[in-house]
Amino acid sequence: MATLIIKDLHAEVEGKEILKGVNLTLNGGETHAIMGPNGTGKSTLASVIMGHPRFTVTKGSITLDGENVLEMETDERARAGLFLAMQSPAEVPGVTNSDFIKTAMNARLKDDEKLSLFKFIRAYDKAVQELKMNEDLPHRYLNEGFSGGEKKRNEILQMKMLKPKIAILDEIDSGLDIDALKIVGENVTSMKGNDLGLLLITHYQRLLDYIHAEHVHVMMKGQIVRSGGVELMQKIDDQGYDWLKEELGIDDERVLHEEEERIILGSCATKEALEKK
Amino acid sequence: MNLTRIPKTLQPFINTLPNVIIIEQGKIIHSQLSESFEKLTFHDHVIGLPTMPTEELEQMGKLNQSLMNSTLTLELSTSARLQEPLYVIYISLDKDLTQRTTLHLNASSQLTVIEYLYAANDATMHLFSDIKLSEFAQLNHIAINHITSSNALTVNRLYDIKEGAQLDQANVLFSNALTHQANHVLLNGRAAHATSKTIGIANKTQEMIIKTVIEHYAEQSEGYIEHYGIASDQSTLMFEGVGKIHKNMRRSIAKQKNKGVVIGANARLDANPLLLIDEYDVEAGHGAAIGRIDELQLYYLMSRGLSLPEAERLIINGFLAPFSAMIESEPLKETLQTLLNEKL
Repeated sequence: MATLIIKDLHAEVEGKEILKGVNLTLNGGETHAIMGPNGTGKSTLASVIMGHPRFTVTKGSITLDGENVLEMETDERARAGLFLAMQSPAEVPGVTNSDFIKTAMNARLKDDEKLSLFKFIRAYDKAVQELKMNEDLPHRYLNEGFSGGEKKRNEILQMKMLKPKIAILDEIDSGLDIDALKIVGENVTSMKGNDLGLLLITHYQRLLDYIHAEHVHVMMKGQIVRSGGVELMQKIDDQGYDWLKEELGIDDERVLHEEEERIILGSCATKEALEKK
Repeated sequence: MNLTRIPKTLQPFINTLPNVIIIEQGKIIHSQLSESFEKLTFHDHVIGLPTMPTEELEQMGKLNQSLMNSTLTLELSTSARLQEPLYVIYISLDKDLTQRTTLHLNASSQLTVIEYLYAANDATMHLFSDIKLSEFAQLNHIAINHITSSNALTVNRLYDIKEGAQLDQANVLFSNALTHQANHVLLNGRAAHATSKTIGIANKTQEMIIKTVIEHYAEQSEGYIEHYGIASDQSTLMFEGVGKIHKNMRRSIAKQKNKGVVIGANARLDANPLLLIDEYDVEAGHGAAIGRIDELQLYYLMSRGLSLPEAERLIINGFLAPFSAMIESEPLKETLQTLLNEKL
């Protein structure tokens, strides 16, 4: 069983501090949800755990089973068992989905135990069916021309194939309609068990109707300001965040303001469309 | 087929090709064509050169005329539509080769030609092609250059495209030689269409210049240029794309795209896209994206466990994908993949 421990994590982008001392322990078998309004540092936390090149860690530590994650390259983190389902995964023209996943799976295996093509295709087809994705998916170029929903499902497809120890799903619900959300929810839930540690990042409690989380955290101003169980999630669902801001004496919960966020993180059209509704 | 003079690296795929003409040191040493190719005639007599549109091309034509030691002339009859591709393999092992190829597609005919140029040792290769597409003819022309020597390769092609005819042209430059390729397309009839794509991979101290010109001499003609490239080590790679729409050639389209990746601090890659437009009622555009491999693409692939070299290899191989998609022969696709990996 894997354990991810984050201690007093500080991180910045282009000289601006975004994470201001995050503490979190995630054990295999547990599901944690990090909630909070836009611009409070949730996605930054996910990116920093995976080693996104634009963020710099200035203080604190991340360990996976005692190993120093911050000293590892992104690919080493992945091979150690970390997985991040990204909010806006890159498009890679010319690289087919199936080639990519096969290469990623083989990267975890020794030379003499490389995956047979037959075994791979069988597992891949099964995952494609379970996620109710189009059959032409293996031959399509990685994320190129994918709709928002297809990208999200493709992230979960990769998670199914790669079987990580700790998986972080960064706003996996944005851009998904209810049917797709249900499919993604079922697929993620079916991977839960005694071993997988799951960290869900979302602003909507809606996701948690489909993927049950025992631990709920609220992030504001680049820190986890409140942790609890399902009751915390329900209170947020009923009353929003204002009560918490009042209790904590926080006026502006954000570390990133919208226009900055747009420049720094890029924007997600589907997310914006959802928020307007 | 007597393969004794054919290099071992080529044998696996040459053996599998259904329709092939092989020219070695200026002689047609082998040809095998299925029944459907009876409408295609070929011989090695010399045919004169047409009028050249530029002085540079005129010079190259004259030079080719005087040094020429190998010729091939192909002609496809009116309305003959050949579905199977024709492979033309040029092999130069020890001698310099100066090749003249003439190809004429008569009206409403259709052909796919896959040209493979192979030169080894210290041989240089100079190719001049004169290609004519009569009314409503369609040509898919794929050219692969595989020059193992570090000597010189020059390729000049002149295309004359008549009304309603369509050219789809693709070039894969895997040569190790000093390489100059120039494709000059004349759109000489209403609604003539040309697409020209090239991928060039330069390494070591190699210099590679890729020039594509599409001139519009007719209304509603369309020309699309795409250049892709990778420059590594101390190499220089240069793209020159010119879309030229002459006066009164209304509703014509001239577009071009340049995409390149530079690996290492000492390589150089330049793109000079040019649009010369002498008419208002047209659609034209160009773009160039030259730089390092996209950092976010690398991060994404690495976040799934691929090492940096693996991720780079996959992204760079992705450049070749649209080109291999045009080739049916699986063994040839594999050969291209091997050549790409050898060059990187």
